[in-house]
Amino acid sequence: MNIGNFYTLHGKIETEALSVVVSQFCPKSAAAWDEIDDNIGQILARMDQASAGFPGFDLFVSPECAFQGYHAGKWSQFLLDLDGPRVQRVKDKCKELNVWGIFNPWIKPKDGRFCDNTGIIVNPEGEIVHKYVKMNPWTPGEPTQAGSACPVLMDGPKGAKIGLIICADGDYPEIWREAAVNGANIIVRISHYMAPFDRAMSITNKAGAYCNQVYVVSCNTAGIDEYYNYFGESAIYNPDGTEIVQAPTGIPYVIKADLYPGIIDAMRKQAVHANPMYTYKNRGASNPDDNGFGISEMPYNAYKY
Amino acid sequence: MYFYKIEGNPYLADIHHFHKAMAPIGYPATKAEIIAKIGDKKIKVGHDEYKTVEEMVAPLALEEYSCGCAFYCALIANIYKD
Repeated sequence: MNIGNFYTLHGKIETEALSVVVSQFCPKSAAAWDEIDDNIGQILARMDQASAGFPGFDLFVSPECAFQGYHAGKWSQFLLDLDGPRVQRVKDKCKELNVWGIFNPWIKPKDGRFCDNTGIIVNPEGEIVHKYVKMNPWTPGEPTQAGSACPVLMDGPKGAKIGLIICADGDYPEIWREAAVNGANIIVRISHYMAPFDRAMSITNKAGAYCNQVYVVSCNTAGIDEYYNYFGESAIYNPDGTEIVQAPTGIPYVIKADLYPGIIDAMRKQAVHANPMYTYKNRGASNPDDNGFGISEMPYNAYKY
Repeated sequence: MYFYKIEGNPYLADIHHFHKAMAPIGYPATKAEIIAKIGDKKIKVGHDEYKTVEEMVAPLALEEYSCGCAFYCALIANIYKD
């Protein structure tokens, strides 16, 4: 759990356990509204299953595209409204079960733009309390509008500070760091990832966890549609990049783990080594020429474009 | 301080003793707070040599430490200034 730190982590750590359920399944690639309704029915059924299997759980996570699938020719004809009746169904289910939920409706923006691939977090009152538009669409295959910020839900359940990223986002190391800098102690990556990117998803999830000292919760579609094999392999990782639990390849499955968000907060304050959130912006801090503060200017051309 | 300056027959447990003494310190912290809280604790830094925490911390160039890493970076930087 605290692998990678030479020094004892001092201090009393008080944290609640956050019970996270990750459900992988395959939506229909919807080409009609009733198929979207079927997909929503599947999400609700999976939430009911979670309540039966894991009584008292706190957070339900569903994959990218779980509402609409991704029909190559018709997906853009079936976009949703965050205030509409279909999204309302998952909001109502969160309220009924008294849980938090993470979902991915693809939205028709009210300002007339084409489409926002939108992750939402719903609280147990059935309210959307967090909205994130995917910053790195899977171009060129996903012509959605790129989002402009990666905010973090700072008052999540049981001390969780949740950064939500979507699928191809996780292939860009900067978004993991952005979520961590913005305060995340848990980064949730929902995806509709297909073969042959199975190893890549695992590698990037582990790297995101280790390099940014966060729990990572990964929820991927599992199954086959008209186009691709979605490999599933949803997983939950420790902040040292080690795996807590992983779902199998390609089949519907539910995994669950209890996480301790307060440990991440404590590690960032107390850790001596392996404290990347300090050392990345205080490079060489133990050098006597810099008085133990290091160099804090941004040196990377990659981030000055 | 063997860990960062090995000379002769080094005493290997100096940083270990120091870190044990630092157990009550939470971050963010200031130099003044650390000295006020544990400054008089004696640390075995050599086979027959002791220093107080205050002696070790007072010379640090920085006064405030946002996290444990910040403090120990300041400490080690100071060791190499000797």
